[in-house]
Amino acid sequence: MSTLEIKDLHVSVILDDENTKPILKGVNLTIKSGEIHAIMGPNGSGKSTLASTIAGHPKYTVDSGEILLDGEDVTAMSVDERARAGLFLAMQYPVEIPGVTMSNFLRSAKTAVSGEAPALRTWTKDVKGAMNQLKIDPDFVSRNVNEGFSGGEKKRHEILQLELLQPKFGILDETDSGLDIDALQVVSEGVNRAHEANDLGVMLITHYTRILRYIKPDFVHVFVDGHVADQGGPELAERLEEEGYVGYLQGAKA
Amino acid sequence: MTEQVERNADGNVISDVLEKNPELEGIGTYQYGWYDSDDAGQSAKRGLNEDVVRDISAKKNEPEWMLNLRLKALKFFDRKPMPTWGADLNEIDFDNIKYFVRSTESQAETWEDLPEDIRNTYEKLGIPEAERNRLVAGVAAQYESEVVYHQIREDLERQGVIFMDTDTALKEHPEFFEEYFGTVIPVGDNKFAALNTAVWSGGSFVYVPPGVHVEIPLQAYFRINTENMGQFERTLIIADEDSYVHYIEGCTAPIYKSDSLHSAVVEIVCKKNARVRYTTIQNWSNNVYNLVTKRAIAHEGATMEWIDGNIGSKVTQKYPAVYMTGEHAKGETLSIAFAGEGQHQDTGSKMVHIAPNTSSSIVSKSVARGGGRAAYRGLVQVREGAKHSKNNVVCDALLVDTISRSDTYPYIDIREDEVTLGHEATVSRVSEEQLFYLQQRGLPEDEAMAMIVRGFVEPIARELPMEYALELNRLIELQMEGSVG
Amino acid sequence: MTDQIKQDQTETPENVGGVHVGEARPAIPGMDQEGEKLSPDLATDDTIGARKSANAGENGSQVMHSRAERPWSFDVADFSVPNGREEEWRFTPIKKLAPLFEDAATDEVEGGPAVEVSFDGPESWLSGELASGQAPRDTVLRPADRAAVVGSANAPQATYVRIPENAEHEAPVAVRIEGKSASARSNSHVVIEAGENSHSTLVIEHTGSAIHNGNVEIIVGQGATLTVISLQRWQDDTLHVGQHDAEVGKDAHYKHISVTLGGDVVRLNSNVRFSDEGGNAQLFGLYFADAGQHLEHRSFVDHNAPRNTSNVLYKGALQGEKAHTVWVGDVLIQKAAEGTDSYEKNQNLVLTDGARADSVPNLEIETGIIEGAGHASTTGQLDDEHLWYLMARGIPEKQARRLVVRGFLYEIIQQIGDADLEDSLMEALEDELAISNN
Repeated sequence: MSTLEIKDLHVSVILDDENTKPILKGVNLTIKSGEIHAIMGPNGSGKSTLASTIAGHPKYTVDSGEILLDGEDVTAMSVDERARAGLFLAMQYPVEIPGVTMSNFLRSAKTAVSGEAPALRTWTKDVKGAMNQLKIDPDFVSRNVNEGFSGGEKKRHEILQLELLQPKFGILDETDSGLDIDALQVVSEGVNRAHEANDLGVMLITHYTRILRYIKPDFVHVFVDGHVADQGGPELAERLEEEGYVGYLQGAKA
Repeated sequence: MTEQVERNADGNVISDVLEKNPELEGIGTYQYGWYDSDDAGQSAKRGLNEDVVRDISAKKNEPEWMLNLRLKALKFFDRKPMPTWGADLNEIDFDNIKYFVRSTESQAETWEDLPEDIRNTYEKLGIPEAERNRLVAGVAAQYESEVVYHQIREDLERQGVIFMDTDTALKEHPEFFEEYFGTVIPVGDNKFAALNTAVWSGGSFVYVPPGVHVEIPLQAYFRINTENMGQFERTLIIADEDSYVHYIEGCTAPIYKSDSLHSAVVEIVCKKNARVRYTTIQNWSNNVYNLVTKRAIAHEGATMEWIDGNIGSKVTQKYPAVYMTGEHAKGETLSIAFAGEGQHQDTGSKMVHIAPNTSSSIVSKSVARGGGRAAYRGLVQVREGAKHSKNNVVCDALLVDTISRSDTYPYIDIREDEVTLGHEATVSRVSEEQLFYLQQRGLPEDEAMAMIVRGFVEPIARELPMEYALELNRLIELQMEGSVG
Repeated sequence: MTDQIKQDQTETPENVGGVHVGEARPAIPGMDQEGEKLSPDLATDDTIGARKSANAGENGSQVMHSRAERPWSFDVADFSVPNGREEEWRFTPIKKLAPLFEDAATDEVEGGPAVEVSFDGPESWLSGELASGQAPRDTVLRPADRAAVVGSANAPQATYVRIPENAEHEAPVAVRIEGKSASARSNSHVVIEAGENSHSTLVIEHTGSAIHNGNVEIIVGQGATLTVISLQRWQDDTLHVGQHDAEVGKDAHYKHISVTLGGDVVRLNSNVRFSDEGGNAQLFGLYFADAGQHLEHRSFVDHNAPRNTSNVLYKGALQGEKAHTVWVGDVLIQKAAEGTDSYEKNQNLVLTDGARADSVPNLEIETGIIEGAGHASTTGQLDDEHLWYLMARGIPEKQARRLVVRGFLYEIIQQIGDADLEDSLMEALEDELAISNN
């Protein structure tokens, strides 16, 4: 049983050498193993900043507050230390890495995260199985990381890594964007499998309620102007579907 | 997915290698830096003059014409200026160099016959094992000035393939030398080719008869042990019509306080429709000046491929060339240079189109870190009459920190109208997003950096035999250690 | 071949024991025992160089590891007369250019100077003349070779054009340099200063016959936009060397366009560096070499300050026996120049046999913190794909060729931005193209 606890988190983005701009203004959020939290909110509200900050992207500076994983503050950890501690970020725009094959990348990451090289036979089987379930052509293992992948293919590969690396917490940054309905279903099934198999805690960042038909959240948080403006159960998502974010935005301006 | 690809690109196989060879750990970033006692080297004479040249020739019992060429070359060497471009060569002290060091009295035919210290050296380098595992079809090992071991598979010998050290070949097959020696690289071609011609010793001679395909590579291994030693091996490869051969060389040296000089000359003749591939993984220690002239002549329909990896040395200046003298001849160079702290890699390639319908390509990848300097320097020349020639040059450089530098000097000289020529170069740095992505998946920063660098050179590494691709990966790993933070 | 080597050959028989050891030995065409002679028409016998450099450390034998190390000086004595072996002179027919290396004043022709320099623009912009060392003269131009230093030393008065701050001038203004005689030496120096936030185009037009050494220095003030167009429309008997140095201020835009159609030997250096951040420099060039002409363009973009951008594009066409063009483009991104974005490209179109195009894009980068850097060079005939496409649309081959050639050259012309000047240059190009029936 693990806990990811975000306490009064204030974060700025580095614009250039001299200027920064505050984005997160006091975020409080607690996720426990096995829980699924949906973070919903309008564009520009800071959802992706929250995701990137948890993973330790160098573009963001934590001005104050804490990110605690089982009581230990991760903000002083490097990006890879956080990953090895069990935080996984499925990125909105996964980058291409020329010349590095998926198979090499996956095994290197698995070795790094679990501290030992996976047994070659079972690993190959695991990879093939996971790819099959995500409807990824087996040839992709010999292609370079994300190189020439379509938007949907990149997202499937993010979830593939989520399943194979078995983190404690998965942060999904708009994994649903740009997916057609079939792909959305395949990706969602992958998240649900990881959730069930590893008691994964999920932070599901999304703009739309569509994905919540496939991944059922236990909690819904409405994110506006850099903080959590409202929270509730799955019924909150249904209300958002009907009413949108208008009410919160007016509230924020007022 | 093929097993080959998996193992090639795999970092774990590399760590397995280290597990099996624990002595390689802890040697530091240069693992071949040990040295043997050098009784032979201690007593060798320093400096260069006509007597030294005559003495080398006499010890080898050479024909008079060869002595004549040597003396002529010495005169060219004395007269030629040092290059006024490229790396700083001012610290080379020609008077302090030992031009000839004989390490054993006779050449061995089994590893057991070698003196123990020399045998141990090659065992540590893994050469006999490669031969036992039949990864190579023939092996030549040069220690100091002369080849100490050589072996070739019997079936190849039966087909008429000749693979032996150049000194012995000159005695046993003088007709090849009378016809080809010094014809591709003239005696006074440049200061260092002239030096080599004057004092050359050792190196490989390869002859492949018409139509014979040598499917498994021939391998030569060069090792300098003596401090201030100059190694001047001379290699001559003749691929007769329709033949194929792949020749691989590797180089290492101990780390001494003062510098050594390696100045080789490699001449290759690709006859009609022959194909020769020449692979170098140069990993000299960081006090070796590596100034090498390599050139091939490609006759009608012939293909010459240079695969040139430069990882070690203090200074390397090397521009493997292909002179396409026959129609439809082809030249290709794949070049990797890795310049770490204190290193200057000035490498590239020369493609000279003399006959019509010839084509060539140069792909160069360089990585600079730790204040190292990597330069691509190339020449593409299309002579008058070489109509419908095609050439393409792509050079990419990767910078992994802010203190290193990367330069590109491509010379293009066109004297013909019906040609197609392209040159493209990019210089990029490792992107923050790529590092973040890999680190987010749990890889420490230096490993992530090494992975990106390996990916960058992968298009060339894939052209190497597997054990060399692994070697290259491991060298990059070692070079990248401590590159961050 | 030197006497020394001839002597050796008499000492050494060509044939020893049935083996050729002499000149017949090298098997590659164009090689002798000293290897290849890359430029047989140029003096590059480095055997001679060896003897000289052994005696003295004169600058001919100096080792240069970077463009940044190239020396500059206002003292003529610091540059000896080039011998053709120097990296920066190795493509140039130096014997022809010999009169321009002499430390000599401008000749007189019919009682006046051998070139007439005139200004055609708002009178208030002409700010008199500047003596040597009188600022802003000599604050930007750094004579970097023998030709530039003797030009600088022998132009006692520089023409000074000062574009006032905030001036907006639509039509191009002109500095006209007209040569009077193909046998008279002349030197000129022009200083152009674009005031802050000004916006203008200046044409330097070279016509007539001359042996001319012309330096130009250009100061682009903060926020200014300046286009300098240097037209070489000389008669075909002219020798011309020149160095154009510019310093680009904060957030300024500088465009230099060199168009060389005439002249026997023309060699122009167009250099630029930056005084602050946010600047943009574009160096364009167009040259058309006919039989016997040597047209050489060198550009050097010195990214000496952070966050500036540059783009270099030179295009050339060649036709006729011994038409020779040279382009050498240096880009140096210094350690301080973080955030640089730079690209350079040279394209040559070889229209007939017997012409020679040399193209050398050099790139030196001393910092990894850059936006981007790259270069490209292509040399060849017309793009068959372009021809095919047009012909597939029903255009006959000859006409298609004409279209493609003009399209190739027009890319530079359209950078000029002045209809009259563009028309006039296109007309001149038509005359050139008519020679090879293109």
